[in-house]
Amino acid sequence: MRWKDLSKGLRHPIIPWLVAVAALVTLTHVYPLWRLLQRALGGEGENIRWLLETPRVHLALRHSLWVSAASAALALGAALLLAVLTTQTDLPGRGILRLLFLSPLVIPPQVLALAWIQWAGPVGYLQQGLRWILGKQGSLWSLYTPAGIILLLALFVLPIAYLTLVAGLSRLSKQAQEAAQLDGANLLQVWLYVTLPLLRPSVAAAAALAFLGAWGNFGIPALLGIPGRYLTLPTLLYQEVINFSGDGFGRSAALALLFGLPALFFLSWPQRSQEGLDPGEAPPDPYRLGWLGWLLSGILFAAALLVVLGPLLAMAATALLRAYGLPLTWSNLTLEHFRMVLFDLERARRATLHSLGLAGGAALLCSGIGTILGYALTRLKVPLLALLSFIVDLPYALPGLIFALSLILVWLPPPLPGLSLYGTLWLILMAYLGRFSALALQPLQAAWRSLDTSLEEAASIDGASLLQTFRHILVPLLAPALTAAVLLVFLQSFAELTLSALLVTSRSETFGWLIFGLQQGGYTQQAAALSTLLLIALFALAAGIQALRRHAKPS
Amino acid sequence: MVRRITVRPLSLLAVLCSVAFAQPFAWGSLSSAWAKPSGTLRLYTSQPDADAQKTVAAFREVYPEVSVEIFRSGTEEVISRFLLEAEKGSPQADVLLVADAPTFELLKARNLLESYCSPEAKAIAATYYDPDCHYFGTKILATVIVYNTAKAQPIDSWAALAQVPEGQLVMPSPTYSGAAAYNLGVITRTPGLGWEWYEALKKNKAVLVQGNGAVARNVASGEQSYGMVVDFLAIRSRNEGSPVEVVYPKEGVPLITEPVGIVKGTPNLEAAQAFVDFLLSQKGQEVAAGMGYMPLRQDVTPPKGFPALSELKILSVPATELAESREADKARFAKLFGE
Repeated sequence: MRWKDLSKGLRHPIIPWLVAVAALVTLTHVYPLWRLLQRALGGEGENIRWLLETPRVHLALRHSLWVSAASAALALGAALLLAVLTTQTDLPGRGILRLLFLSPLVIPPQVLALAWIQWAGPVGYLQQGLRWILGKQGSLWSLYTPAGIILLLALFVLPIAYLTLVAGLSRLSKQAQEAAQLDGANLLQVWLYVTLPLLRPSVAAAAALAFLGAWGNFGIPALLGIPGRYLTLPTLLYQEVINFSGDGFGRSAALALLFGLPALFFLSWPQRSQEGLDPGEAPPDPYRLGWLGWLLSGILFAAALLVVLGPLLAMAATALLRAYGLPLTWSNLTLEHFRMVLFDLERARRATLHSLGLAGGAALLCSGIGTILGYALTRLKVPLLALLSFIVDLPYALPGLIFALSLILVWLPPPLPGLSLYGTLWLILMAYLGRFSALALQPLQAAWRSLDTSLEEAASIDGASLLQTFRHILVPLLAPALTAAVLLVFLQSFAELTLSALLVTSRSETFGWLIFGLQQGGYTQQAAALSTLLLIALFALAAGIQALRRHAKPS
Repeated sequence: MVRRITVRPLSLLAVLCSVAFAQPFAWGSLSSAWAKPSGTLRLYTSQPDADAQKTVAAFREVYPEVSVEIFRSGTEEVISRFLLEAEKGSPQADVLLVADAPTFELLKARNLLESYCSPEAKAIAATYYDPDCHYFGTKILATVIVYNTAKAQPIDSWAALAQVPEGQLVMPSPTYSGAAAYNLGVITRTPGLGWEWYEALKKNKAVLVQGNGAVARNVASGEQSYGMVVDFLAIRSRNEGSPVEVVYPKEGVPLITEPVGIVKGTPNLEAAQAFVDFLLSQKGQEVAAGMGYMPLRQDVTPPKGFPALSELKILSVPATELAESREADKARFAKLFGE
């Protein structure tokens, strides 16, 4: 019986495409991870023994599990609320809110965490303002606590969860929701009993991405956890990597194994197919919120001001101040740092071009991988494929530092005589493919899961080839998930920083590498200026798209 | 076929002879042109990008035939990449310009460095380079006290730094920063300070951060009033107008020298040697001083805000000893501070 299934599966027209994807994934994921595993198990197993016997490792593991789970839950809750309100209702100002909560995507976590300290830290604008209003002395709260780390991680993964959910929501059936409304259900009831169950695949995808994103993040626990003496797995891994006199690399490779645990857990989740799609129908009419809409909008804007806009403004203020630490007064403001990054920073333009190309290439390739692999995973029930999806998710859960080191291990010797990828942009592209494929696979897999197979079967009966079916039927239906995948991978790779810090040379600069260099060399204000410019570009782009849409609508 | 083979060497020989005999006096200049370094030089460094660019540009003014490829990153990143490459048997750097002497001792012990006694080293005190010529210091980065002028009382010694108000001192953690691990090794071996000094800091709730950059930021913003930081960051911050002041404590300062070393087996030894010579030469040291670093040569004036080299009281411990004990020191520190 199983053999019959398998042989039927092997005749499926997706197989040649799947083989191509598997070959690519072997280069970008399987091989580097295999080398890491080899290294971890190498010697006489002393790295594994160290892993099992060291109390510090267990402590870091417990801490990381807690902050990642808590921040993923927080981000998922907030993202669900935001996604439903901004796509299903007529919430006033939803476009701006969407953009505000998405903006942390383009800021490297190291810069974001610093902006947060300037906003809400002990001498940040928020605390100073509140102290002045309340007439109190001393610190009102501390960011250097597990709670601070959780809050920041949640903020960092919120856009990823949000985009994944929006992609799922825009494919929901109009009829089910309308039927519930006709039966007299209110917004909350529709949400709880109709929308949420239909959305289950996307919720699972968003939860997995949020958890893995928080799990592998180094920048935030480094900036907040080191002063708070709160050891996490990524910071422990960094400690071992820089232990140059012992076998630090072997130990960090062993630690990397631990980063695979949650990905393994997500793999074991029940993956039932959901059918909530209603092809060819317009999306449901936005739910009219009335006065409630204004209230909710007010609350959300206040929240955005507190957790997103405030820190971003603090970052902009840092970029505008003459010197770090001066009070914010007119006479202390200058555009000098912006001038410096725009005109004096040699190679900034080249780095931007490189990053545009790399991010574009990574976005397209990752979405391709996600589309094909997602299709195969939901249509052919071959257990081996589940393993492949685990491997694709894994590098996203690893700190960039260790993944970059494993790529060095693999690509240092030229793969063919005379052909060296090392030190070229191609290696960085492979690194981005490896790291960010998960961001494309999760939303696309969720979309495939909620897409009924009847359409493909009908098309196949009509004699359409797989390529024709994809082009004319499936890809248009997948469009929301594809958009989310492309956007996520593009924005994350554009400002990528930890992989670049190890792989970029003077021929292959990237944007994230520029920011890393500035931040790391003590040029905090210039790094803030560069990030501010990136944000402005993002907002301008979004405004441009909005204007184009409005322009296109009348015709 | 046979004719061709015989004709070619003959004609080549004829050309060579005619050149040699027609211009006998040109030989001298020709041979020096051959000796002139050329080709590609691969530099691994942790200098800030703008500084690395300037250093290389100045080097190429003297050696225009050499093209330089840079890998620039944080010290920790640069060394972990280099060690991994070396472990795989194909280091991709020709010269390293990073970190501190103990790190180079470690590379030397693993037989990864080429010995080259640069003639320029004569102008530098012998304490700043390896007696076996595997690495040479290129500048002085002293660790000093920085304080926020709006919030703190001036102090002038490490001893006083241990007595500042609770929670008001910030320093880089040796667990995450190589420079801080160096200071740990030196200070714990300095009579009058020692581990007792770090125990006093711990009792006084000193705040640990990842690196020197964060210390400079926190003191400038007033998050903490006092910091222990590498001098050039603090002096640059002061010169830019941040409300900070810099003190060279009276007990003396630990200093790192950002050494340069040639990688064993480099295919372009000539260019690598030229690079080392250049960094130690008067011109190279002037370039470093121009970027706001304290030069090692007495005949180059330090930049504005730095004390003269002769006025500095230096705390030092042999680099080999520090290299051997670094991990043990770090472990003891982590235990003391509960990191």
